[in-house]
Amino acid sequence: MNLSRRNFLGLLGATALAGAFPLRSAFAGAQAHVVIIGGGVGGATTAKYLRMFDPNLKVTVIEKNPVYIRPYGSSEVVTGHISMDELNVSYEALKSRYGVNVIIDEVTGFDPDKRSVKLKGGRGVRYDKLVVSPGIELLYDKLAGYSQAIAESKVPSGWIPGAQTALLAEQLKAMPQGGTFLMVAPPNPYRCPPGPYERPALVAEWLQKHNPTAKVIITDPKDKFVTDQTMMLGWNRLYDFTIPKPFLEGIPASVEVKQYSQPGILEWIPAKDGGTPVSLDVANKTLKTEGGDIKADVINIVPAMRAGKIAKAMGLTDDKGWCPNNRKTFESTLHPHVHVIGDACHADAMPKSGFSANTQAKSLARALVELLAERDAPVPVWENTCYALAGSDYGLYVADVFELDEAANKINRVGKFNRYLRLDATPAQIRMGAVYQQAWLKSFTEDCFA
Amino acid sequence: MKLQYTLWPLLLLALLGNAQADGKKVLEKVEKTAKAPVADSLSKDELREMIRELIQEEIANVQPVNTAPAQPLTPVSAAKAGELMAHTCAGCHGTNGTLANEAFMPLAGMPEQEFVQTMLDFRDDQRQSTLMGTVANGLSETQIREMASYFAQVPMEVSP
Repeated sequence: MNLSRRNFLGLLGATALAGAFPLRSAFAGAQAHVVIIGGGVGGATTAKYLRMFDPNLKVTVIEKNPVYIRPYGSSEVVTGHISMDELNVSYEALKSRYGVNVIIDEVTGFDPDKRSVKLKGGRGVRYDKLVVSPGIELLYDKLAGYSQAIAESKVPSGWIPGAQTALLAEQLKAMPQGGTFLMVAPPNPYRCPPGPYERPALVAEWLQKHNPTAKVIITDPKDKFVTDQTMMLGWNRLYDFTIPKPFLEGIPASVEVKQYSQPGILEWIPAKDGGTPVSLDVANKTLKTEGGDIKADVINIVPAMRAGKIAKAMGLTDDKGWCPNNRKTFESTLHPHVHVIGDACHADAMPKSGFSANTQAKSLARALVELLAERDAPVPVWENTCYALAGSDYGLYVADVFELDEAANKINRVGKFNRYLRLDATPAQIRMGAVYQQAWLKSFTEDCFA
Repeated sequence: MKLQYTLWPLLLLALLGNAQADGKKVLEKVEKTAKAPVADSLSKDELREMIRELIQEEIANVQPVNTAPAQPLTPVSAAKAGELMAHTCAGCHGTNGTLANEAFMPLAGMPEQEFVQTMLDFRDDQRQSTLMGTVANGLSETQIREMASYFAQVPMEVSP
């Protein structure tokens, strides 16, 4: 990305700017303008709620793709439960119902002093407040032997949905009978905590029907993951998975845990058993791990990640690759009047999930309305729910409420109660979890985009 | 219809939403709920169908209020107590609690007392749920009351 910062405005005449947008910002004293870079969950929700809270605001979303492809629920494409087209979300409702300006273009310049961004198409856009919700960038190259080119042609990631998701679905269908599907789970922190475990579970379920002698291996650079115990209980019931000892702790005696003499269709290799990936040998379809080589017919890698590219180009990231901010208003500590939300920002106890981005967007929208009216931003409150499936009829979740410790600039989880599906959940509760998961995909999309 | 009662304990907020319900009715419903058996024998599709029916039935009891969808429900003023909290429900229950779909109960227009009683029961494990117990556990009673008061004044307007 060639971002010419600071100076690009000098190349543009004031007339050109005025032509792009009537300047009725705070500078002119009339209509404040909030510009949002990124039309994903965070950006779209911010735009919608800003206009709901204050219809006098001018709100512009700048997004490079004309249609949003939702990542949440996209693993269902891999097993053919839904088609790629069903992931598409339109920006029409944001425009027509909420009066949001949606510009399909890319940001190529940023002048924080003049509060302007420049677009590839040549326009300059001035803002009173800028929201950046860029999602993630996948660091394919962090794994030796892996690259974006390989991900697009041979060993898909599909963690940002698109052509790689479709490729993975094709590969699964074409997998030989008795073949191996290998999922390489990511290191922390990453988008969608239960996701790298839900996907192989859905693949295992699909294989039981279509390729019953095949197997699924999850290799992991971690020893635990969010929803691990409830997910493993589901695997135990559905895929003859033997629950490792540490995860049996706390399961009530009333809950039956099955013991298997043979390994089941799904296997999980944590870091302590050598699960950490070392390198990929694409030609031989082999992943070298700390515990040895794993040869597979289909390999799905979720690489390490950091804040979306634009955040770095705009100078909004720290040395860890994420965006430091004031947790109350999500204002960047590196550039004033720029607020970063969603996967890209530091949010402490809040996971990198669509639900998090959605509630961050709402507290941000309220904060911006208040700040632009020269009132204090209210004390924010956030929630997260990650629904996940261990099988099509087996729903589970992690749910949390979060609060701000303003003095420490830190987001904490409220309380110490159980965050997960109860280990002694009834079969009906588990099936209801799956009903809610499916319904949530729709209700959530509507809350963000319609 | 006979299966419906077996489902009461599992429905997150399906008991809610009847704008005509008075305090006594609420307590009767709560009583019934606590004693109902669990519908373990039902398939996922049957469960979904039952919830859909229940929600439709509840909605039919509510007089719809005519409001344009683009109409801002929040005035251009400082946030009301409970409002920010209430917006965190929208990821499932729809923007301002006005969505009715196959699984989530709309929260808009719900009488305060029903909302509060149900949330407290979820929180105190007096009522079974999937995840509402977890969510309710993260909330103080004051927060629950403020949310109840916010949702009660949102016009019940349901998009099918």
